[in-house]
Amino acid sequence: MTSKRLTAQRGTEPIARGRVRILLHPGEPPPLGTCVWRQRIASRLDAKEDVLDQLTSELLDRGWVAGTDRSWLQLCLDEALTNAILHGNEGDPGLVVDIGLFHDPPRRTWTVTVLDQGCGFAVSDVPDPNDAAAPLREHGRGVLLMRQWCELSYYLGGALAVLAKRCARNRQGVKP
Amino acid sequence: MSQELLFIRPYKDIHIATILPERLTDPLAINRIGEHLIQLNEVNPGLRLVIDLTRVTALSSGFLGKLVALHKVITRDKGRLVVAGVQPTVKPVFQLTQLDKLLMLRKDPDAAIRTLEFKHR
Repeated sequence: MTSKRLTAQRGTEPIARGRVRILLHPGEPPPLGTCVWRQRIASRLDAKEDVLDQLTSELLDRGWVAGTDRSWLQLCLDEALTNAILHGNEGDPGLVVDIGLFHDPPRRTWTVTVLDQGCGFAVSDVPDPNDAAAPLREHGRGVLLMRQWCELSYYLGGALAVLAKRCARNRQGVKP
Repeated sequence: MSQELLFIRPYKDIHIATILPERLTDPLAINRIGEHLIQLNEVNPGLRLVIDLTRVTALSSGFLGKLVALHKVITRDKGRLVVAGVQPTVKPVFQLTQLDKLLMLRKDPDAAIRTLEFKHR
């Protein structure tokens, strides 16, 4: 697939690399719907497993993610949380990570937000997973994997990861 | 090596490393596994290694990075690495990242051993 670089726009830094497109915005995200779940955890790797399980259960129990997609859901959430702890907060256990789950009934979407306390990143820092040398790289596959399953955008210069996807079923999002 | 992360057994001059956790997403565990296998390569020049992922149902990009690092040091030292038992839940991750082309993947450890024995002739 031919790589195509989009022209940078004021207020955003979009980039397209084949199928991988990273949207990095300096400002706040648009309204994401109603917040139905929120957690703040210490920025430690041992703190992420609990919140990962809780968030996975929320999305599966509400029927917003099909059980067959459980592995992809956990993979994407794990990548986003790990990035926030290790890269965003640079492994500082004194910092925190805020995680939120939103529901937008009119658009029938759910959104997970992962906010770290770091300064964000530049799109150019993320390795291109589609170039010839990509398979030999030891880093930079997380964004590719997340993008494969859900819509991924970054706000606040990269400190806020926003993962969104259309609800699988049970539009009301009522937990059984 | 902590027994809950990795079990290594020899078969002739081949090492078979079975990854024990079902979810291979903890970066600290991934680092420990990676360091141990790289050390195994250092003390066994020309290492022929099977990494058995039969038990693994989920893994992170961090583990893929460790596999690539291991692949590089083993091939640099004229050894061979085969990955076995990649589960259907994990296979798309290998395909998407093109690691199914970089690494030798085999259905199970026995098939991986046969590959290494054949290539050694």
